[in-house]
Amino acid sequence: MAERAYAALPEGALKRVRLGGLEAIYHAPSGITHLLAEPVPDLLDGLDSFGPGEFVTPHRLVARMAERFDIRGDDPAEAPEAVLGERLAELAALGLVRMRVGA
Amino acid sequence: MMNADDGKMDGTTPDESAGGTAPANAARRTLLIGAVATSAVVSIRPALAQTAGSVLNCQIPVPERGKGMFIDPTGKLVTPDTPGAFPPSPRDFTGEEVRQALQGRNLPGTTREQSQAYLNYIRKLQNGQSGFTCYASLQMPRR
Repeated sequence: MAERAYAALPEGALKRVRLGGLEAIYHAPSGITHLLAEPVPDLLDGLDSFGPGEFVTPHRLVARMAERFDIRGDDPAEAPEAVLGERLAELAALGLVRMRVGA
Repeated sequence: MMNADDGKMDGTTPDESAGGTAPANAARRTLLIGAVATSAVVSIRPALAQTAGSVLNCQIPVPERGKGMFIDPTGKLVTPDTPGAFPPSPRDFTGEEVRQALQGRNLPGTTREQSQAYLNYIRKLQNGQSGFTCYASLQMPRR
């Protein structure tokens, strides 16, 4: 199965403002603002830490984020990679991250 | 619900200014990743002026480039030898053109049947395909 990889958008594409537990993210290319809840802002930070052009798998991203967070899902049977992979796919659909399939 | 309106996004500087920085954050945080949650709590439409610039001028290729596939009347991608299928559109359509076509006008430079086939293709666009975000933007309620 082709694995999906994700990368942060180029610098300046997103304007992010924290609002307590939420984050308002303005997506400059579309002019749309999204209000997003945890863990999404942290996911974006995690991707950012690789740099804008660097495509990483959910696996690598989870490994990077585990350096800073105790990652806890509400279903122990479900791998964090799978859960965060779904979130990343949603972010890609919104245009907030870039996605690449395969390799 | 999808358009809790805009207007509050003005002044403050982006990023960490609002107290989100964690320089002295020595303790590890627990990050809860609920399986049921979805990413977007709400998406806020741009103000009207921006709509004209961004959503309506965004581009939807029909179909995605480089596949060499034709489009059948139901909007499915098929091989070029399929009877009744239409060739790829030579140019991308803008969000505004698609919006008008959804209201009954033909896409520019197409016949009635071709336009319907292309629209059916556009309706099937999914996450990650070129043009999806543009098409999704057209779905957002207008005021």
